[in-house]
Amino acid sequence: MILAQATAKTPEIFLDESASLIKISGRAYPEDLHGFWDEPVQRIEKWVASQPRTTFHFDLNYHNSGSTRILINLIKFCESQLLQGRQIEMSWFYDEEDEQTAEQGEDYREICSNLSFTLAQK
Amino acid sequence: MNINLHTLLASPNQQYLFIGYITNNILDAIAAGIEEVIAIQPEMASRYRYVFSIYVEMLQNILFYSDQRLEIASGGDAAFGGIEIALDDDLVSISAVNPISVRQYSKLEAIMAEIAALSAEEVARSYKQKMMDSFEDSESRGGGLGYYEIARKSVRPMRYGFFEDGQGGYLFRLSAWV
Repeated sequence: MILAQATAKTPEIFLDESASLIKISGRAYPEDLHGFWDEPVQRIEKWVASQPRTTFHFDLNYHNSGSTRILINLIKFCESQLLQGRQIEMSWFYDEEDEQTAEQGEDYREICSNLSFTLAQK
Repeated sequence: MNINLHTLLASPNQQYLFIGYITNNILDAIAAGIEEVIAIQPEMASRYRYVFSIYVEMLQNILFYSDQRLEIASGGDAAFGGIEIALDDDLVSISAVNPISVRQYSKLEAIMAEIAALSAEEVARSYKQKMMDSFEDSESRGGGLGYYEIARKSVRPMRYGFFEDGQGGYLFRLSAWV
């Protein structure tokens, strides 16, 4: 199920219900930060809170500081769900030559140290 | 005409220079140029992702915070400001300038002074702290975080300045290097 279609400035957000897998891929620097993110994030949080296990794949080759705040909130929400006994795994993908995206993944991993958060070269 | 365009065009280091009312369409057009033109130049290719991200942060800050605005027919508004991307020795400089209100001046001056007092390592640490702080403040546009992000990516200390515009407001200029 597509939760948000990709555009030049916004990522595709896809929920594979059978695998409980959420993929966020593309670029994220929307003109209207909350107009883009709020609805899909609410749906993701609702999904995560209803499932025993969820996997996230982040494949973002650029996101702006506003989207960083949205992702931090989403990741922190997921971290809070660990206390409810849910299993959540996150993978952060980056291109070999994309030092910037790798560095951002390291930041999230460091900040959300209770989650299983893996960096993976594409 | 108040400026000599031919003088500006004579600079061999200039990559992009735009001054005027900025819309999201202009942001998109220059962003496409960065990808199509800057990414293929050998001296800039390895850094274009950083150029792109700093450029987007700076342009979106102009769009959000410029104090000189015009309503446009397609909805929303256009924000007055300028952006320059240029070669500077063996680096690429990205600079932005825009009018700001007195209220915004007070806020930005505090953020800029805070960043200027930090070493590169302290900027990196503060950036992560700002990320955490943003978790508590989901309604703000994240301006403070964006400046820390630019500072972290800049290989030289950011340069900034505030200039009175003679009409009760200020012009804010910010430069970063990658």
